[in-house]
Amino acid sequence: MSSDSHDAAPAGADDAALATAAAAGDRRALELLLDRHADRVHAICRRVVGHPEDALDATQEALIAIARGINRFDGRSAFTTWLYRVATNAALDELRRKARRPRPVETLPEPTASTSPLDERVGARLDVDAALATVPEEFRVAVILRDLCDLDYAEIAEVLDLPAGTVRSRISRGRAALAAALGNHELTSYRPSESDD
Amino acid sequence: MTDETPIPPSDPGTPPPDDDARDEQIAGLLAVEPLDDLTRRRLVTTAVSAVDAGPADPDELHDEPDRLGRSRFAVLLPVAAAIAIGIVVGALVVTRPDDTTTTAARKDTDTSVAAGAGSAPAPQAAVNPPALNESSSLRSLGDLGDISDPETLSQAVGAAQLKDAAAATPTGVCADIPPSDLGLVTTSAAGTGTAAGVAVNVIVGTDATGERIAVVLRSEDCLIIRKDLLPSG
Repeated sequence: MSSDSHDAAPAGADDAALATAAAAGDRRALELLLDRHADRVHAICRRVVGHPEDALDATQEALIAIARGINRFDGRSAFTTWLYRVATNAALDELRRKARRPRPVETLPEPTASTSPLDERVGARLDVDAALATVPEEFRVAVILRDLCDLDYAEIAEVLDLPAGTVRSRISRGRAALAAALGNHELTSYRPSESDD
Repeated sequence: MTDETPIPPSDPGTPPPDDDARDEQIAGLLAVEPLDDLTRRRLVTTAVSAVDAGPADPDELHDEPDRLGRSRFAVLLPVAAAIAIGIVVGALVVTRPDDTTTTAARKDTDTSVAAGAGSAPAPQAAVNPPALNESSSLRSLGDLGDISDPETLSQAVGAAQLKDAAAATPTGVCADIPPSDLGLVTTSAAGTGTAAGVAVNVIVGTDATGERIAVVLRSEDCLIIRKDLLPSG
């Protein structure tokens, strides 16, 4: 890949500097920026979408959207806020595309009688994906942004363009729904409300 | 249609979660392995190459919160505004001083209509579609006191609605939650209180069947505790 002739942004530059350079045509800055945040984008996509291959598709779509729209980032909010918003929307788009596609029935391996620690970790991951799939999208995304991405309520409110009270409510209900879906085996701190819609 | 769920008792063996803090247990469950270097390089290279393929299509960028946020309402806003203005005009026509029956019948409708009898702010409030019902347009019920049981809540809400609401009385931290999140079509009033010693918010609105519902939420995290059916009118 060839880089632009004026590679202004060094590798250690902050996101704002890299985004500014990338918007000006610095391909190296864009590459550094995307590389820096690829794991973060993938993590959101992986947990929102739930399926590893579909999550990679969503990640690719998100990174392309970020790359092609970098000149629309105006710097008024943190770069990561904009990045999370694009990633969340890409993941939700993939989720909807997946819902419209016919999929073959996936057969999971039969559980073995003895479980090694690795088996237990793999089992827990499968449980988490299945549990997350039962949590309504709006609550799922809120929990993922808070507990996986460690965004605070104000940041999540900005990403999702929601009032803080709504963010708070969705996180609470998402956590309770996740606990209920996991059968309260994994989470010990939540007693789900039966009044959830 | 009462959906009453007892407030979950605190577990003395487990410290109550600080709901504003990240839940480390969930964080551990949701953690995702980093991409391997090869996959990361491929994703990044493809994305950077896509820049050279041409400028972004505004529809492709998708950086507006069009599903989880309120931008979809911006699309529907002109239609909702036209409908709402029609309702306000209709209300102005029928709520004349000599038409007390119609005025009484509209007593429990959304404040944007109830307040629209000629007052200047009404058109501004009326153009907000119900799902964008902000806390500032909700009638304040004030502090409703102990509303541990539905009967007490119903009486307290009824009494509060007969009083003139103090403008400075807070409606509660959960008042800005969209009606759809509460299972309601519209919300009209909000207040505060306690239930079994826990600070709660109460939001009054109507559901899809037209029933008046009081939604009781725990103030600390806006978790719905119960929903009580209120008498109509």
